[in-house]
Amino acid sequence: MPKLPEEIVVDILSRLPVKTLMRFKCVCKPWLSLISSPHFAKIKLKQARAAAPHINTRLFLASRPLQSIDYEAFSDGGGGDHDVSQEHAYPVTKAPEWDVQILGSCDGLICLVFDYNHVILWNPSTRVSIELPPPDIPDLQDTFFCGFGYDISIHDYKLIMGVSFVATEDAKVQVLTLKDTCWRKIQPVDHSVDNIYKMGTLSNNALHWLGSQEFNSSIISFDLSGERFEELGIPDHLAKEHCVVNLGTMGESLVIFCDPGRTHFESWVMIEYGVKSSWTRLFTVSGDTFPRYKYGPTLICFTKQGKVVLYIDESEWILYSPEEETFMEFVIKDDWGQFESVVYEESLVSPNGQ
Amino acid sequence: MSTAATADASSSGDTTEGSVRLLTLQSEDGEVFEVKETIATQSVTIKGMVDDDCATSTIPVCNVTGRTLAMVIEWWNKHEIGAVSNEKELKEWESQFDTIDDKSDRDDVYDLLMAANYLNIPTLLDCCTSAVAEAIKGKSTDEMREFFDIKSDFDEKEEDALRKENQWAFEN
Repeated sequence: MPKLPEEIVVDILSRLPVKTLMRFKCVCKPWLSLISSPHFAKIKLKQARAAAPHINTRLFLASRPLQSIDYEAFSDGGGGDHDVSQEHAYPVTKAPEWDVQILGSCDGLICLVFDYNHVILWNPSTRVSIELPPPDIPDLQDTFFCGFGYDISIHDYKLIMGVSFVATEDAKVQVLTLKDTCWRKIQPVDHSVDNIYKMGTLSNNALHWLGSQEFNSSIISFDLSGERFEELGIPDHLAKEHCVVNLGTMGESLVIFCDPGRTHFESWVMIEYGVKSSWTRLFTVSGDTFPRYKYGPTLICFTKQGKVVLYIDESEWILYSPEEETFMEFVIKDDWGQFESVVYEESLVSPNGQ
Repeated sequence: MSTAATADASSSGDTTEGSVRLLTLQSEDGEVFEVKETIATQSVTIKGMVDDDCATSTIPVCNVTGRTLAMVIEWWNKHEIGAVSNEKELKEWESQFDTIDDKSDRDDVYDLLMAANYLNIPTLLDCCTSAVAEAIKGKSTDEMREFFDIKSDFDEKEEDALRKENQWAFEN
């Protein structure tokens, strides 16, 4: 083929899978510098989201070994010949002794903690990783809350970690920006973060945790640019008696998964971000749907066809179809039992924060 | 805007078919095509000319041969409503280029890409770049160089080092 204009070549390359692009770095020097550039990583991310967001997402499991599932392919019936799960080599030299903790996921980067002290920012698609300094938190084995996201106002990624327990008067929150890889303390204005735990859910440039005050559920948000904690309203009848099980997203929208009355499960989506009256029910599923399981499900993610990946019994992964009211089990190899998970996009984004 | 252009067209001797105005396009090699305005304005370039009232006489489409322009018009006809092609349609279109390894097909795609770029037809450009991406995603670096007529500017040592660094991307 004779020479094509550069913008067309960029367009074509931006449509290729990450693995192919890693190989094509060896074609010539201009391609190497194009494929390695943060600018191209952004073009590719944008292209993937516009053209086929569902082809590009996988569910990462902090299992042993580390693996990811192409849940869309599984949903499309690709469970047969096609390998829906893929193993990942550890981004640390030594296999960890303890549970791998997930701090967050954004733009194809996943932040993990190995053996309670190695904080690793990793792109599983390009296999590039860096180690970040650990935060000044006394013991990462204790209960903490965390999250990872992109601050559009400074064009940089932020990692946030905080300690939260009821007894603490001044909950400690720390933020690391990727470009300078330095932790700094920020002070939450009230006691909003006293009861939030685990990994925050990223939506609308903010992180979200399930909070609780007395016997009510609430959502605590953290605006990544303004670095403020705020409470997001949820429907009153769902806020009562800790009825929200967990948070999730559908596209860009925030979703809650609830078990009102302990008889069934409901999922609600916040159509207009920040507007309490815009919460709309997505689906209801009876508790009897999953008779074999002792414990109730938590919501993990949605497929493009509106099916739902649920984590159930603290050990099983199922794909539930609200339309057909049926479910399929994922077969997952694991030596540990319980582990965390997070959805990520395949991308070229470098953890080096260039 | 289009009302003004239509009124103007009758006075300048442009043809109309019913209420639909026809535009006259002339390829680089002199072939002349009459195309409905509603169809040809899928090209952002031609739409700009129509909007600016510059499409009243024959529009020269430089850099595009009659053979390619005929293919472009076929694409326009298939997408008359101007809607973005759906997945099935895209697959159908792509299936034409299943044998893109064949030199003549490759030339066709190249010509279409260049025409879509020149005439600024986003849907056609999108479709052709997708088709090429699909055709090349499994290729080796040598095949890529051959495909895009690229000469490697790495010396042997550099290429070996780079290959080692990304060894996994060369495995199945």
